[in-house]
Amino acid sequence: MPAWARAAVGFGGLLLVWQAIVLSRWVPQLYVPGVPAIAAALVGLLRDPAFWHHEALSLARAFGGLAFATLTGVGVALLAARHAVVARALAPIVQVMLSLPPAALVPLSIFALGLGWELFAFIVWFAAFWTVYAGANNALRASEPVQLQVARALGYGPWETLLKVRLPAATPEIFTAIRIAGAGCLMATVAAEMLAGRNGLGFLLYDAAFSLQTPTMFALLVVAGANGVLMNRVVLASRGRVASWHDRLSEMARA
Amino acid sequence: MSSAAHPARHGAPGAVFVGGLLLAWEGAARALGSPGLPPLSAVLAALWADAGELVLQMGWTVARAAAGFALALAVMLPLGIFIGRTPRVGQFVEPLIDLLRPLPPLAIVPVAMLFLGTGSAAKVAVVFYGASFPLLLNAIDATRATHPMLVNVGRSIGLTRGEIMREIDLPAALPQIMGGVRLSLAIALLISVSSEMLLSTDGVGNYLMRAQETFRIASGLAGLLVIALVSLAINAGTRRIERRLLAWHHERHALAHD
Repeated sequence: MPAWARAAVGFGGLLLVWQAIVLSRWVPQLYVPGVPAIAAALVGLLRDPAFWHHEALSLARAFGGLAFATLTGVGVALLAARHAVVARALAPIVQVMLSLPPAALVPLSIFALGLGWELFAFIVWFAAFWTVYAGANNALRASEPVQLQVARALGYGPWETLLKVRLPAATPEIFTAIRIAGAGCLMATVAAEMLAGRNGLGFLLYDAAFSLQTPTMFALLVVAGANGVLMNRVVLASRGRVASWHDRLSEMARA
Repeated sequence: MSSAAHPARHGAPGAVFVGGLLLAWEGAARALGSPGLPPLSAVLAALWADAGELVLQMGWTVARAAAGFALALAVMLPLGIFIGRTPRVGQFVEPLIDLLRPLPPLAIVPVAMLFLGTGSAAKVAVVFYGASFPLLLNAIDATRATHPMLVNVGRSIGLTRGEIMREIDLPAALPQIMGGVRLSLAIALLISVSSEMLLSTDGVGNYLMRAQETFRIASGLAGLLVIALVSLAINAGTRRIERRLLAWHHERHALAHD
């Protein structure tokens, strides 16, 4: 059986079990609507321009925050790789920041930044920056001695070595960190939208739950999951553009 | 390249930098005098004044994180080993896991609220959901990577399927499973705090919300400080347990490398 067929069987099984639970009346229909009701709610959402407005806002926040955090995170990591003092100065702060839930920063950030785009930009950036920096920092440290000797033999200066040898070698590992950070960005976006409560997918979810529109709520969860898949795809696609040479190389090495 | 050569030496500049940063914060806050940026001394004073309350609320937070994590460990570890050991089940279940995984755990909060209200049960359920994935995925991967010879040895000395999972797969997969445990614990605390902010009743997340509502910025920062400290302590504790639990593994590795 091909992979997609197995996935379809698994997914179909889940829908069947769901529908069976609903029909058995173990749980109130108000809380757990049937599969057709959820599908209808999903179609209704996809036809609604207002939904797309919220969805676009959420995606812009998550992707914009991740892009910004990637640029700054890799930038600071390059600086830290060039000047060890930067890395050592940041080390204790990174540990503390990685341990803080982004959502916990929302209340104080609302006070400092208001409810505008600055709030989301800061929270989503924060959710990703430290992960990207820590990953990039580790990846840049792990340069192969042979590569560094070749760079020296070619007469590269420290910045040239960093940008032309160490950064490309570290790119695949950096993208692993970006992928993890991307999931964090989506979660931070939803959490901040629930807490700030004005627009976006998180706001819609909360709104649907509080007004007991459960089919819409489950349809929105499907959308939230689809956003996660989209995030993963986009990160993997950009990895392909930047680091496909690496994969081809490892394939050649295996052959 | 000195940074790579002396990874152990990063204590001093870090401490100096943090110290300088804290001093700069104190100075800037006093110079600005704005209520939005309280000086460090005010935060420490708030920490001292609210210490009892903070310990109590953090206790709630940690207790719910621990409950959700323990539940996830009890369910997902056996399930992961079972799925990893029986590929016929895995090929149908794994696409489902991939389907659920991209859903951010905090998006589950409204669902949990509908079914379980705003009490501890709803928060523990959200923590359980979030903490499950790293445990489950690592257990599946690690079991699948177990050397087939180990399993064959088990079979040839007449162990049953369940015994093989318990006596061979679990210890062999433990190093990778511990990686999942560490990730899962960090997520558990993160989600515990966040769910308290969304379903405010008690806990340190609720403390943060109330600090904002009453414009007590210094107290809010004190709350963040407590969260960071507890999270760092949990991480350090896990590493310690991991070292003890995996001592046999590291010893064998060291022998193999000599």
